[in-house]
Amino acid sequence: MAKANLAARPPALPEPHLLDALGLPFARAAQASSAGFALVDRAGRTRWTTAAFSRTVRLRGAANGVDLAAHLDESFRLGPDEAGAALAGTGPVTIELHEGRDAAPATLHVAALGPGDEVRVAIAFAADAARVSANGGALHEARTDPLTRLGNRSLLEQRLAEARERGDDGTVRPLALVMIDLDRFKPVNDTLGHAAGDRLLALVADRLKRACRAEDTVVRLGGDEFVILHPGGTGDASADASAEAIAGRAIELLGRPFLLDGQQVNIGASAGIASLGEATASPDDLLRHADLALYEAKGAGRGTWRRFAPSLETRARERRELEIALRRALPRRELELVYQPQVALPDNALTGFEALIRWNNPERGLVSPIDFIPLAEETGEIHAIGRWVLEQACREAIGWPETLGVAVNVSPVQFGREDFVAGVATTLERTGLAPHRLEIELTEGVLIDDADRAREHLEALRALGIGIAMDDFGTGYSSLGHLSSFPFTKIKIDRSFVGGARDVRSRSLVSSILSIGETLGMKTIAEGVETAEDLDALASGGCHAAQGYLISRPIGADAVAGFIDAHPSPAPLAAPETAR
Amino acid sequence: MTDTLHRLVYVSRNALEDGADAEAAIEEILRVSRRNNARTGVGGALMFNAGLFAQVLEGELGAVEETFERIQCDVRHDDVRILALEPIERRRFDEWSMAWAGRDAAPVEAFAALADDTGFDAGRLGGDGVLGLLEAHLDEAADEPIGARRRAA
Repeated sequence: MAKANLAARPPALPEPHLLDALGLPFARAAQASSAGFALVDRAGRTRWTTAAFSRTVRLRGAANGVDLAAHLDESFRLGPDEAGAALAGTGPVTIELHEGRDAAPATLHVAALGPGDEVRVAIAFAADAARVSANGGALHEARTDPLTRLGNRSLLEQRLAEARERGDDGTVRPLALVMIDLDRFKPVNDTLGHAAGDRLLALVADRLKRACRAEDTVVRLGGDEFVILHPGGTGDASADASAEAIAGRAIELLGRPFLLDGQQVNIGASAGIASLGEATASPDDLLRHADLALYEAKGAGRGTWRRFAPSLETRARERRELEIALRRALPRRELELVYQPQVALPDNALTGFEALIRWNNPERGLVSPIDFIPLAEETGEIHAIGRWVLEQACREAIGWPETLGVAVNVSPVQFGREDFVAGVATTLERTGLAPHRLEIELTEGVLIDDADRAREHLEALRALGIGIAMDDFGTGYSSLGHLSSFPFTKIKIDRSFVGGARDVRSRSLVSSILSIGETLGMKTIAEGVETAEDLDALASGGCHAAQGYLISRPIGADAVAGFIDAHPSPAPLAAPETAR
Repeated sequence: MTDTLHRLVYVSRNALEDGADAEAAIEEILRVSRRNNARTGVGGALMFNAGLFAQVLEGELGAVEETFERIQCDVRHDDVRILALEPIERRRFDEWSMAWAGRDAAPVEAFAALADDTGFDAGRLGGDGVLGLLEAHLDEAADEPIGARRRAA
């Protein structure tokens, strides 16, 4: 706009002797400035004014030779002789030019120009200028995360748009995006409170800035997710190497302890990197690709970074397709329960069945639970699947002799949900299965995330009269003391200690577990029993029950009735005292 | 809470190559920390040996935390382990804004106890151990050339 004005009518320069005092570069700069400049002689008359000056002090018509003090007195509400005194002195003096009661004033600064006292320079700032800068400030605020004072998503989008525009001229400048996600931030928020969590995020922001170069943009995307936008050097083919250094430094710095309110807090971070190049062609893809790499870094055990590769996209697509197929599995009746018989030792009498899930997908065939349960846990589909399994198992078991029970596996994710116990109680009520005929199988995982809630749920299940078996006993990391403090009714000895090629060490482990069970007053059951020798050893060691291929593979629901008919049942299943 | 007197003891692994550069870096660390600490009222002692830094910081909790955060962002050391952070009745190092407990031979064995075969086992000596070590060594290090017992500006 200023350019257009200059083209229309070149503004006049000051008279030569004034220009000498001012200097040509300064005069040119003054003419281009949004601040107004004027030269005023000792008599208070304007000798040279810029367009911005005339506008700000509302000089209309001729701008030179005007008695400025009189004009200002007329046009603005000034104090007695305020303008005259300002212009007569050698200054510097600042006066405010009020247009109206509520409007922000323009300001006028007056000072003598050099020695000799002949000329004053007056500089006028329009009230608009303050507004313009306030608007700039508002824009800045809109792109700032208020908590950490880092940029926000809007700033990131702007930067990516700028990168895209630069790319339009055919030259791709190196640019990398590092996406950072904090590990273990939630427990800090939960235990120390949100205020402490907020302060921690501010400290994290400072450390991230430390990990970066000055030209990098650090942004908080939201929650505990951050992005570093890193332009590579002009000579670099890509920004890969330097972005990796930044990611490594950020992870290292965030892994160092923090102090909050006299408490030591340890968190960590994972990072995903994407940079413009062969794998990522457009700035639009940077965020998505870095996110995929971040997912990979978390899968690799957190506290590390991964770089995007096209294979990640393939994997993510496969995962997404599996996820969609899994969400359709229930309504399309592709899930099925099979039942593996359990027998009492030493008489081998049938005591019940463990319900095991199978997924028969028309396109994929039989999908292993090892492949789809983790995905179901991650997507939350596990809750619907878990409810279905429980319901189905109870409905099936109600048709069996009353001496037989059913064991159902429950995922830690499912177990941790607030309404888990209520759901189990409702299912029992609806299906009419006696609580003591149901056994919930849990792994140690349920005790890790929230031990208090786990204890609460376990006790509630026990109060209902439901049995609880600890699955995969001996394979986790919890201490025995910790495990024994929870109200399990049964220990399930993991197949890795039982199956075919067991050695002396496994044998002594099994006998240790059996004596632990006896000490804690818990029943013991061994899984993966494949040989008669295994079974004999378990029976003579005092193990209460067994399951495995030796007894039977898991069988379909339609084959259960036949199996029951062919096998002797024991005395009626004893109902614990806690049963209703 | 943030204005009550606290003591922080930590050890960290030196990321500097030993030698003249490390010497210069330590002088720089001491110079900067004395300047900063005089402003925030944090005092303490620093020791460097067997590839480890050990430092005691004393002052108001808020100032100690702020100082520690600044130290945390320094890439010249890593593997920072906090051995103690606790409220105290009075300072033990209130005379200096940052005393230099030096690196001469006397306590090296004791200090080296921090570094086991794997290189780093801070837990062995504990906060009180490091504190005692720093105190004991400060007395011996009175003639230390690198600004030992230099008063805060």
